Amino acid sequence: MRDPVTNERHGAEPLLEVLDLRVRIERDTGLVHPLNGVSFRIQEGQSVGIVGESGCGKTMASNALLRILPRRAEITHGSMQFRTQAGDRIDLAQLDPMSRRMRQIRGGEISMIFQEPMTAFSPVHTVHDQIAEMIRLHDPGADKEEQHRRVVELLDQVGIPDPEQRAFDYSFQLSGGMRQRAMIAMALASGPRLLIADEPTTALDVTVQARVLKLIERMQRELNLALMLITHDLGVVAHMVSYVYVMYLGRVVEEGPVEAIFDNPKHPYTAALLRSIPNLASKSRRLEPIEGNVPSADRLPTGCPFHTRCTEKVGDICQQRMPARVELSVGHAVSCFRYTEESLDDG
Amino acid sequence: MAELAADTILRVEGLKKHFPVRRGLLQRVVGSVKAVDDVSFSVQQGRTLGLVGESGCGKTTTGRMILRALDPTAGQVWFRQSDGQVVDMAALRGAEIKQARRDMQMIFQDPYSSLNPRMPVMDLIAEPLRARGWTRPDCESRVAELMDLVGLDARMIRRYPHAFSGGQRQRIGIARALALKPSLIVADEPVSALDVSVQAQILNLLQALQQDLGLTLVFIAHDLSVVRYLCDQVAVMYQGRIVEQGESEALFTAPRHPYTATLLQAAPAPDPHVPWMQDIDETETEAGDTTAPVELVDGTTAAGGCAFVPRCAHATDLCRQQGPILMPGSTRESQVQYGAAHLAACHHQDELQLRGI
Repeated sequence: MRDPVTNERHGAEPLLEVLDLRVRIERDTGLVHPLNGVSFRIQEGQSVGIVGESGCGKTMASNALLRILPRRAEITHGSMQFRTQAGDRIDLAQLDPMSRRMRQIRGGEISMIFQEPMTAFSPVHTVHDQIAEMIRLHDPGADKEEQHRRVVELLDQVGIPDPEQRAFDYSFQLSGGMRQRAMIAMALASGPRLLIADEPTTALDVTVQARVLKLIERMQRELNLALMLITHDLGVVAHMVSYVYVMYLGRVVEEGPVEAIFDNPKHPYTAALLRSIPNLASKSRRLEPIEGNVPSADRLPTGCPFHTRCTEKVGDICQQRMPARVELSVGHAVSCFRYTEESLDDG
Repeated sequence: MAELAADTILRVEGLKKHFPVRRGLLQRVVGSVKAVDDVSFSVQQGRTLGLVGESGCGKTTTGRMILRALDPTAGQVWFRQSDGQVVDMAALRGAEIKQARRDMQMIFQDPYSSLNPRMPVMDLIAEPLRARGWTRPDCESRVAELMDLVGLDARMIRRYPHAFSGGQRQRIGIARALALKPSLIVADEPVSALDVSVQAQILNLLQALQQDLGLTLVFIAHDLSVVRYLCDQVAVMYQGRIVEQGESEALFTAPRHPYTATLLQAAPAPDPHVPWMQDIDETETEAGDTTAPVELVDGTTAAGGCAFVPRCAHATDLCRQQGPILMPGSTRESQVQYGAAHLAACHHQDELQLRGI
């Protein structure tokens, strides 16, 4: 079930709070800015969607969180407060990526499932060995027998038939859907509190996708996991999360409860995106494409990142300054001059 | 010999492609995969047929055989050339294939790997023209005209593919396909590698080109919402066979094959209020692959019956014993309601109450 609690109203401290995160990559050709001040938060047990097109920084955000950024990338600004199992708050941005603490969190309290399960598994170890390894790393006390019992239990939990046998398969012996299930089992092996799923079903067929998503939903509910679902697929996000962040060029341009985002999109980008996708359920409507292309992250436009493609610009201010985040209703916020005071003064 | 109704441009008849499966040191043929198995359909001039199905169902193989990029194992591909002559693409040889291909072209899925990175746009689009002996000045003016047609800035004619975005590259691919004024285009997943906001640009372009140039389009896709947007007719494939075929509207709103209904329900609508897969049992695993199974030479795995049985909620003993034939409903009501053009390969198509969208 979707939890109706918006991010704002939740009384408890969030599980994760990212504030004004900026990442810079040094390339031979110059500096690239994939994240330009991203803020989001996830409550315990909450499902949050991060939506955007390629280059919007959604994957970069999760990589920054796990401190697995590419070699020449660095966090230049911002914090990522994570509340650990023990109850203390730590800023992931301040940790050494190779430190013991970070390794405990990465793949431990925060674990991740990827788009392409083939790359997550080693082809020379059995599924069993790899999941057992995860259990060993995060629970050194478990003996071989206990590890085996937990591997089989996990595989069974994610719906792999005949888990005693399949555990000893290699990842390439499993079908795409099975491999994705095995990867979910591996991600759950360490008993995480936050699961990051980066385009978890993009490589799968639609009928397999449906079952894998339902599995993620059930696991999230049963284990009270927080879910950070990264996707470009608006259909998937509509049904999987309760709260959505829409990203464009390294910034969150709109955020809100899923119904608000789909029923009442406020940012011109969100609204245009929704008008540009075909909906199986409505034939007659003509698609309205967003003209132009997503600008490259090494040549960021000045001002509002969307102004180069926006059809609802309020004036010159759009290309001069970055609009501030404005909260329109509880939990529904947008960064656009159409809703700020400045533009009213301006025009 | 070549019977092709006057308004029909393409008719595929009993098309098959079997790939041998080799094993062991000597690479002996131990069996075969029936990637495409007895597929028949026809497309009328100026219309769009969607070939849909999940990976491995044979839709791309079928598309490639139409252009004779792959040799069929059996079957015919009747095609009406622009000179009015009807040829069987499957039976043509060498120069004849080249001749017929002047009128049919392909658009590929991946605009990154399908364009040679060392050729400027001019050469990329002009390549098919050059192959037909066009002179350079002629090529140049035609390329500029084509770039304009597909919405590219003709001043970019000397640029290389890396200077273009995914959507623009796909426009180059489309311009290239249109260079020789084909009458038939086979588009294999032309938008699935593109960004969401760019997909609509390409879909609208294809639709406009089709209307303006009177093109016939075979559109291969897995995304049903895209197919519904663009296609007049749809053929749904499963394990190398067509399991349902009909007018797009009828097929989407009143599916006759359980697999079609499954596909329709599995696709999540971009609307949180539309219920989605509420009664699915996700622990029910991926029984029965969409890919055709390997059939051993000795026939041990050659099971009779309907291929969809392992995933079908309505399967009966009849389904397990006897393979269904693609045909219209046989009861009077279903013929009145669905017409003779809506075909399904299901023994129970007249009894099932399947939910469309």
